[in-house]
Amino acid sequence: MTGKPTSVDDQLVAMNEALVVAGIRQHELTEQAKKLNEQLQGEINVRKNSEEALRQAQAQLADRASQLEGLVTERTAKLQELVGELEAFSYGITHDLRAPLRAMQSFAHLLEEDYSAKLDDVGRSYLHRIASAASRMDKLVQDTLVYSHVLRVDLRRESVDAEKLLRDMFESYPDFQEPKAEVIIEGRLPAVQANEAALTQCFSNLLNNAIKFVAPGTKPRVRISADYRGEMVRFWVADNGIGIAERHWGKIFGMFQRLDTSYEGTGIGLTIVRKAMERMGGTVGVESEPGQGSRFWLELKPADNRKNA
Amino acid sequence: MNTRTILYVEDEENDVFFMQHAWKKAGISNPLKIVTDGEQALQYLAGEGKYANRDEYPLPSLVLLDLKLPKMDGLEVLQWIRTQPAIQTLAVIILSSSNRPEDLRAAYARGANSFLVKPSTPGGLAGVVASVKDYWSNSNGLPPGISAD
Repeated sequence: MTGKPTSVDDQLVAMNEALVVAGIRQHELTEQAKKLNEQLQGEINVRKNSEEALRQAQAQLADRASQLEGLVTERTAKLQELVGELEAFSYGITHDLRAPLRAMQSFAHLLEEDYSAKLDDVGRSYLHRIASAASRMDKLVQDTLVYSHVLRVDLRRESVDAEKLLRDMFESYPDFQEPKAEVIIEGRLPAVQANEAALTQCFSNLLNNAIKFVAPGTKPRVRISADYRGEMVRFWVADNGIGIAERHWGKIFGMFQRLDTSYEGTGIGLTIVRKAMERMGGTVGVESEPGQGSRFWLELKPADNRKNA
Repeated sequence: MNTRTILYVEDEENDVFFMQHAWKKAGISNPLKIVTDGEQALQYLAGEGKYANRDEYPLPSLVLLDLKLPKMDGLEVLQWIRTQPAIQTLAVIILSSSNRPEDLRAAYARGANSFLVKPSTPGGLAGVVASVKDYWSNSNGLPPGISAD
């Protein structure tokens, strides 16, 4: 051993002191560990709580989702029921409402045919009025049906060759041919994204108007052409008719709107066009001046040739 | 044409009247028999009840069939006809006030020979009668089981 010799007592005292220090240190460490433990427990509790909250929220969410799903199913069923009812309603109109009209028209015609000689001019004119009123109502019923069809039918879009569609239409309607009318396609008409039946209806309504609204004695001349407006294809149907004042341009597309009642019509034709175009993602419009003819246009997306090539 | 019978299935009294009128005007001598609902049509074709008397109610060689009928509609009648061996190939022309594509499709799918839309004037009906006449003269030979006089 080196240094000052120590007594056993001294050594004991020193060891005791060391033990006390170690005891204190141990106590301190235990306290620290306890605190840490408590802290951890606290954190675990917080976590447990939030997990519980999360679980509850998820359960609520699932509950809501299934409620919503149920609601959607229920509403869809109701909507389908409504569409079905509308369908049945239209069917009823076709059959039951038109049958008495058909009878009125037919009996008036029979009277005209078989008993005309027994009537004077006034009587014959009354008969004529009965027949034409019944016929007008029949046309109204039919046009309303077409409109309700355009409203609810599924208008699936495909690439439609507008030029072929129009040429087929000219062929089947003598009213669009010489000598009754001169209807010409100028240039090439591009294919568009449309529903063929609906687009046929639109062109047919525009063309019928074009050849109908001419001054008495005027031969209808209609020019159909196309150009591009940005991304869209615009078809023009230009006529030599009586024309429309600018203040009426918006009005004519409204239901049952007729500007000139000396021309036969129901006032539904352009409403059908507007609705059909809207449902095909397109638009319709007009430029016109009284006495200068009208230029109606239909705007649609061009057919995607990459897809259809 | 000859004396073969035509059966007209129609519940609308006025339509029956107009058809008989057009028939007379067109100078068609073939008897036009009328029944007014789908069940009667079946009884007539099957020769049941009073229709068992084939002298008075001969088996028709053409049926003009309305679609919307009481008790049993036109499509059901048509479907039934196509399942009866004796009259399976009987000519059936649908005469309807509807021109809905789904009605046309349903009628042809069940075996209708033709589909005509009821016209609203006697002139139009004369056209229908003419096309019935045409249909007649264009159908070569009669289906088995149907006697041509």
